[in-house]
Amino acid sequence: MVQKPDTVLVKAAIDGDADGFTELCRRYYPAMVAIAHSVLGDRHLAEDAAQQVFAKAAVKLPQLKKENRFAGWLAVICRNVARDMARNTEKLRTTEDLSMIAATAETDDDAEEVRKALNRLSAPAREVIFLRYYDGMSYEQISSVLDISEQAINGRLRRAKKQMADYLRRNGFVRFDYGQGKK
Amino acid sequence: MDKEKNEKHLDELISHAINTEKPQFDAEKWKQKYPDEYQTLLSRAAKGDSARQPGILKVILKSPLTKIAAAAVIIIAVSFFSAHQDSSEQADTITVSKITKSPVEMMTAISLTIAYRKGGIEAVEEQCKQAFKPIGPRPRSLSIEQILTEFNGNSKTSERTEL
Repeated sequence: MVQKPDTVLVKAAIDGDADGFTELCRRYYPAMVAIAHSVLGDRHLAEDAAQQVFAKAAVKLPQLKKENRFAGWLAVICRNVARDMARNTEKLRTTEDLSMIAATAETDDDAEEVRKALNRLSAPAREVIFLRYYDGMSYEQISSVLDISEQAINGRLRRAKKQMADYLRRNGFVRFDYGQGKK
Repeated sequence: MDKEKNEKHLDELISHAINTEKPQFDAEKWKQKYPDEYQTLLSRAAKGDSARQPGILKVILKSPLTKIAAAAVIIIAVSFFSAHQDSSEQADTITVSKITKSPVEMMTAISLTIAYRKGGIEAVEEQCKQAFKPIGPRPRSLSIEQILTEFNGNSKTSERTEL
């Protein structure tokens, strides 16, 4: 079945077509979860944030000036929602929660080191990593969501991975020499 | 370990560290969680097409041709208005400067104009005769100074007349 272009679905959703809007939600839900996850660092919170993004989009959709920029517009809402959520959860986080996080981290040292490496990246670099590794999104899909060229995404991704590899090598992953191995 | 293997290894580490299982959007759950927002979405369909007619500004801005046409109309309207303003201001200035040398002259001009409009040159002559009646016939030897002194008893006016 041929997919309807975003612009057609967006126009339909602006006119109150629930099916069109639901289709857009299905299409962009993984990307929104990935962006929110890159900000919040928690999958469940990220899913909540993504749902909130679509709630805001349902109301604000008539304000969207260019239908072909829907994905980028959605990503902007997502970043704001995730940041707000991060601020609120930071306030609510108790000592008990922190001890639980520590306990979880101890179970998988490698994963924890990689998470630390991810956290050291800039927000845009972390975002592109999450988008790329969530469901293996293509450069074209990432490009439409982040509203930047595929070349820029490639460059950002390579730099982010190199930064992560450097951090991991410095922290005991001796087998690691990304970007410096034999050619 | 070569570069490709390193890259693959890093990919595996990242995939393992972040839960990359594809999230699924549950529409029914979302509708239950955000009923107000969902109703807002549906209410737009109920408004009908007429309510969603684009505004005049949106129509103009949509096409470059309409933008140019709108700009041309604005320029013509502004130039016509400013030209009209200039001419009326100029006319007003001339008339006022002609009439308002003194209040007496202004009154004289107004009364003569009204007389001319009512009955032409004959009416103007009649108006003049009526105006000069209080002075009446005088001997030629009488100076202006003497006439004015007799008329309003103002010696200062007579001095000014001499000057």
